[in-house]
Amino acid sequence: MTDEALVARAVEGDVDAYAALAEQYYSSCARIARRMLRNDADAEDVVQETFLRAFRAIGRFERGREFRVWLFTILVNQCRTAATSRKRRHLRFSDDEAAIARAADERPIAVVEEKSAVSIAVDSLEPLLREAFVLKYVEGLDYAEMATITGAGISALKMRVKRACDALRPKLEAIYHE
Amino acid sequence: MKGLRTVVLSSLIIAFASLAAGAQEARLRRSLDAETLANVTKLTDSARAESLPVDPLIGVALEGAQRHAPGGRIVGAVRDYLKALRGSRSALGNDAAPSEIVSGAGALLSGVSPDALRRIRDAATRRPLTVSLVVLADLIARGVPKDTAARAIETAARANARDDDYSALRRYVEQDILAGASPAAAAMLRVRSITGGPP
Amino acid sequence: MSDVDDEELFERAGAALRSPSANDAAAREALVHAIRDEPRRSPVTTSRKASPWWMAFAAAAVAFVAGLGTGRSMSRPPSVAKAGSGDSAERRVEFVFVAPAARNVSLVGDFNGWDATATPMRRTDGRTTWSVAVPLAAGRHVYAFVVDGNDWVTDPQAPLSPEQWFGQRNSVVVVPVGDRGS
Repeated sequence: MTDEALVARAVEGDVDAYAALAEQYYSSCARIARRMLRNDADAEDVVQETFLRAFRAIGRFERGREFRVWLFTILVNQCRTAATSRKRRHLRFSDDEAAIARAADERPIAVVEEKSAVSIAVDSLEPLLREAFVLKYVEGLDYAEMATITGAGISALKMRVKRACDALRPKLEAIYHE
Repeated sequence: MKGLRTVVLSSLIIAFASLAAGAQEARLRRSLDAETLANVTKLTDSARAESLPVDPLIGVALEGAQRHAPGGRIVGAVRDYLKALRGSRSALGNDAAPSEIVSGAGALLSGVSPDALRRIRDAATRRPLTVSLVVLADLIARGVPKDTAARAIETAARANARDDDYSALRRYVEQDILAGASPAAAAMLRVRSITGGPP
Repeated sequence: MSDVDDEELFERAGAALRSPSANDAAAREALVHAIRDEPRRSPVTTSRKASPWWMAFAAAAVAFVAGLGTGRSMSRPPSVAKAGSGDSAERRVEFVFVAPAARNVSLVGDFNGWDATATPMRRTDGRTTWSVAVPLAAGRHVYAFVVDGNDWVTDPQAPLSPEQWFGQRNSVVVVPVGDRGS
């Protein structure tokens, strides 16, 4: 069933249709939240909260809107709120996360290593740059969609992406060319 | 006869209020360990001496007890709240009603500056502030930047907004945010529907 | 580095971050359970378009009672009963919470010492909705609902409290004094 059909049924109150949408978008939401919050546990909480809020609001979702953009808007707002209002008990867990991920993961070690290394590099970006980079290069959104989601103007977003790329370039070159 | 009825009713209200206050304090004694109770009592005594609202402080201590928070955290919360109540009364003036002082404290805890609070008070002239300040804190909790939210409320106050208008503003902004609008844009846009013009 | 190489570099990094995580499955399942446990959405009701919730008087309570006969569950913010004669500083406030999957729900707040045993709510309206009416003094109050004994939740219809003293926000209700509209 297409997204549009699922959304139409979810708007009418079909819980199964909404659950199917949640399954479909869970991974991308989790990816964004993990990079924004730099902590898996917090990210999981925020993603759950996002899907529940979207579920409560879906009756007001207008047909013709793109569901993914609407969902990501809620998610990005939730990430920003969580990042500022939660007392950060820890600064960065990137290294620990990488170690745990490697230990738990059964995929080829090279795949896990690359992802950990790239995560660490992206995590070092300041929040707005990190957000812009993730939305563009990880989620593949265009600038118009990013503008809707973040509330920033398109030229501001292009500048953020450029700055993110400038900061990442030497780190990524080191990862990929060693 | 009406004068006597007013006196009787007032006495009943005062008696009931004391009974209720006594009940809350009894709950406090049952819920907190001795050290926490002593520290909280010092703070509520200060509040009482300064004629600041005491019930919200007791409420926070009881909430902490029911949520099984450690004593130190409870005392810290009560202390921070007392500080915010003082700041609120200082910004809103000595004639502010208790519920206005409490809502003002909430706004300060949300990060609104005392100056912004004073501007809202001045803009509202003699209309009560409780509802407008509750809405201000709610907007900030939903992601509207604090300066934008304070400006929106001040603008609405200047336009003689009533409690109904503030509550409508809150509902619309919440819906807009859930529908994908940026919180700041939602707040600034919706306040125009009250004022009828640009903020 | 050429622009093409540049773009490829970042696309490659993006692709790396898209590779699936090992531990999503459990969280995904937990989410689907949470969605199914979520209180059913209420249809948008006319009471929302009527007077603002905390200024709503007996009319809102009457509309709620009338709605019972249709079998639709109505989630709405706390409604404050109209003042009776005299100058009482108290009002009867009705709290409503839709939670069909809950086994029990109680109201906690600054008016009952946040005691989850003090004010249990009763099922109404075809067993999807919980409600209770309590007398409250005029002014600002904070409250929450406690679902199944230990899950504290805010009221989705009410303003959020700014304070998060113990890691979680509560909800706010303002009880007006007298018949003053604003």
